[in-house]
Parts: sequence; C-alpha cells; structure tokens
Amino acid sequence: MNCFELRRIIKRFGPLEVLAGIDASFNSSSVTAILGPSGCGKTTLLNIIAGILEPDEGSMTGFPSASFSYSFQEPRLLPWLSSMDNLLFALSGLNDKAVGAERAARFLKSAGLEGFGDAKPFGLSGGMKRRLSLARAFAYPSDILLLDEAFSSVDLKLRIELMDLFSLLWREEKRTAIFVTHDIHDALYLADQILVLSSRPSKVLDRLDVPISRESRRYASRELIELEERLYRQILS
Amino acid sequence: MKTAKASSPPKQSERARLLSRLGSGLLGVAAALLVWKLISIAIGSSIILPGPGEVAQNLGALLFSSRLWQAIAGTLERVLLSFILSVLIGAATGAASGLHPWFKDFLAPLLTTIRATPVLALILIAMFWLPSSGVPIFSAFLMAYPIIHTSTYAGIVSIDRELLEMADVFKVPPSIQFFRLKLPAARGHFLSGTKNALGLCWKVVVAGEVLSQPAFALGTGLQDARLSLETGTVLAWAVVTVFLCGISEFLLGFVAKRFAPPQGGKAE
Repeated sequence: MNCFELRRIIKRFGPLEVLAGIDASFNSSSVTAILGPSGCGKTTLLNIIAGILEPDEGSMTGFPSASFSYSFQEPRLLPWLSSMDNLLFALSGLNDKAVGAERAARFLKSAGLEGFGDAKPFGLSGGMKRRLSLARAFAYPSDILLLDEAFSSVDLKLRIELMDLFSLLWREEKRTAIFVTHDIHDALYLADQILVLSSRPSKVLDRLDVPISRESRRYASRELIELEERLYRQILS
Repeated sequence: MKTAKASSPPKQSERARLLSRLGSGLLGVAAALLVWKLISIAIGSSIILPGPGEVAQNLGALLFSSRLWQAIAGTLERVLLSFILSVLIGAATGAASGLHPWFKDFLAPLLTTIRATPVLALILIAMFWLPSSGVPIFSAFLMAYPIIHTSTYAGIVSIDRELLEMADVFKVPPSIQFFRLKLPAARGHFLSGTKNALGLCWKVVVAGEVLSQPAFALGTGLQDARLSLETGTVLAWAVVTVFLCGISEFLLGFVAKRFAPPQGGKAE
C-alpha cells in the first residue's frame, strides 16, 4: 500500500542543515499532514517532494515519476486572466484540451465559483481566491496534491470553510495529498496520517494515524483530545 | 436617498481637487508668460527674444499656411516610422535578452556604444549614408531602440518568481508561459518604455530634420526661420512641435494606462 517513500532525506543551505534525515511513507489516496514549528523545513520538504529542490542526500520512491499539483500559501493567480482562464492556464499542458476545459468547469463549479468564471482575481474576495487556488490544484490531474500552508493566514471561519472545500473536492477525486501546517487542529481535522517534525535541523519526531473518518470529524473536537495532547507534547518538547 | 447623500461629498471633493489642479496649472502658465513678457521687454529686441504676443501672431500665420500641415505630415510619418521600428526590434531583442542571458551579453557592447554616442554625432554620421528624409528616422530609431530594449528586458526579468514557479509545477508549456504569463507581466515596463521612447523620437527626429533638411519637416521650418532671423517664427514652430509631442505622449499614456497589467503584474 506504501506507494511513496522518503528515506534519509537531508538538505542543507550552505552551512545550515534544514532536514537531518527524514524518513516517511505515504499511502496512495491518503491525506498526510506534516506538522512542525515555523522554520523547521516543512516547505523545503514539500519542495523536495515536488522536485523543485534537490535533496543533498537520501532517496525517494514513487515521487520522481509522479505528477504534482500545488496549492501555495498565496493563491498565485495570474491577475490578468479570468478565474476560468487561470484554471485553463494550469491545465494547458494536457494533451486533450477538451478534458482540460471539462475539468476546469467542473472544479470551478465544485468550488462554488460557477458564476465567477469570467471574473478577474482582483474582483474576487480573499476567500474566493483561495477557493480558486484549491480548485486549480484539484483540476490538474496529478498523482499527488501538495498544499503549503494553504489554509493559514485567514480567519477561523474561512479556514474551516477552505478545509471543508478541500474534503469535498478530495471526495470528488481522491488522490494522495500532503499538506504542511503548524496548526494541530488543522492537521487533526483533515489528515489520515500526521508526521511531526522537530525544530531545525528537523527529523520526524512522531507519526500517528487519525482513527476517525474525515466525514465524522468536527474541528477541535474533544474526541481527538488524546491525539491533540500527544501532538502538543511533541511540538513543545 | 441616504446612499446618494453619502456618496456626494467624495464626488464633490474629487471635482474640487481637479478644479484646483487645473487652476494651479493655468496660474503657472500665466506666470511663465508674464516672466517671458517681462524678459522680452527688458531685452528690447525681438530678434533675441520676441514676446508671447508676437509668437502667437506668428503661430496664427503658420496655422493658415499649407507648409505647416505638410511639415506636420512629414515629421509625423518619420516619428511613427522610427517609433514603430524601435518598438518592434527593441521588444524582440529585449524579450530575447530576458529569456536567454547569453543574448543579453552578446548585445551588451552594441547597446553600450549606442547609448554613449551623442545624438548629434549619430545624425552627422547618418547624413553621409542616408537621404535627407532617412537621417531623422535612423537617428531617432538608434536613440529610442535601447529604451524599448531595456524596458522589455526589465519587464521580463522582473516577472514574479512565484508565478513562474507555479507555472513550472503545473508543467505549463514554455510557449504558453511566454504568451500568457511572461509577455502580459512585462507589459507594464514595456508600455512605460514606449512612452519615453515616443517623446525621444519627436525630439531626435526634429533635431535630425534641422540638420538634414528634408522637404517637408518641422525641423526644416525651424532652420529656415532661424536662417531668416525670424525668432518669433522659430518659437512658433517650436510650440507646434512641443504641442504635437505632448499630444502623442498623452494618447500613448492613455493607452498604456488602459493596457497595463493589474496589480503591476504581481501574483494575486
């Protein structure tokens, strides 16, 4: 079942060692949260997985041959293109243009932006731009979906709405998703598996599975208090 | 009703601000004319400095002569030709330099030489090689081309890295990245460069015409009036040139504002 693996991944920027031997495995069609303090190298690890950065040492299984879509911390939309054209831009590498157009229209609708296909990003609210960015990541038919703090820097209500949208889109087309966050509640709300990274130079401190199905979870629920306490202990240690 | 009342004060203040700016501008013009008039009275010679009234009379006479309109048509044609040439070639080499650093290095010595060459030297050299009507076009092209090249290059290299990274992650083909991301993102720098280049084309074309003397040209009119010691007519030709240059820059600025990328081309 383990389709994707990282073994002893080490990354240095000059004399600064950021990742000090990361071992992890990711089940196919599962959602993994990479949890850790700010500056511990979560985004670096995501960029290594996506092939944007090369690791200095270590090996990867499954990732080099996979295709990726990415939802960044900022929506990263082209301001001169409409919402629909932003999706089509990301899908322009597909061989079948009709499939690209169908996927763009479908995920725009699923993201609740059906009536905003012609709107330019500056005409959208901050929440709509985030939804569009998520829709773009799902519309691209990748093997792996990477999310870099895609739910952060927004108020709690919008954050939960975005995470619910993620769950909705993920149910529509299940795929392996890896997201980085420093918020324990976000990780417990969305992930099947949580990897806890230490401070820099980071290693995997803990790996735990969330035993409740995503559909029946509530945000910051008391049902997961034991896992929450365990994660707090790890982070604060 | 409440909404209308709430929105009217900002509109009024906007109008008041515009009127105030217009009033200040007109006051500035009136002050400059007054200073000009006082200096011309102090000098007391219309050959050295005629007053604004005399220049206005000469301008009125010029406006009713077919020579002025033929000269405007001739100069406008040269300005447009040199501008279009510099835009086409400057945009192509600027974009190529932004995309391929080796091409930037390849062109660097040529561009440095062109930039360092005085306009007058260029015009005098061109007079050996080209017919009189071609000299202003060639000179203006060589002066405006580096501006367009540099602004296009700056636009390409200043593209938001986050957008490029996003396009790479989604494996957007290079041709689509170029036409849908890089070119639109570079538009702001490019348009600002074209505005500067157009102003320069006017100045260099007229300077070239003064020396090369094509049949129908504002520069030829200026030079003929200077040779006849008609300073008032020289100033009248100069006023026409300044007016045309200002109008064309204004029109291009209007177009540039309309087509500039939103948010300065940065990611949303």
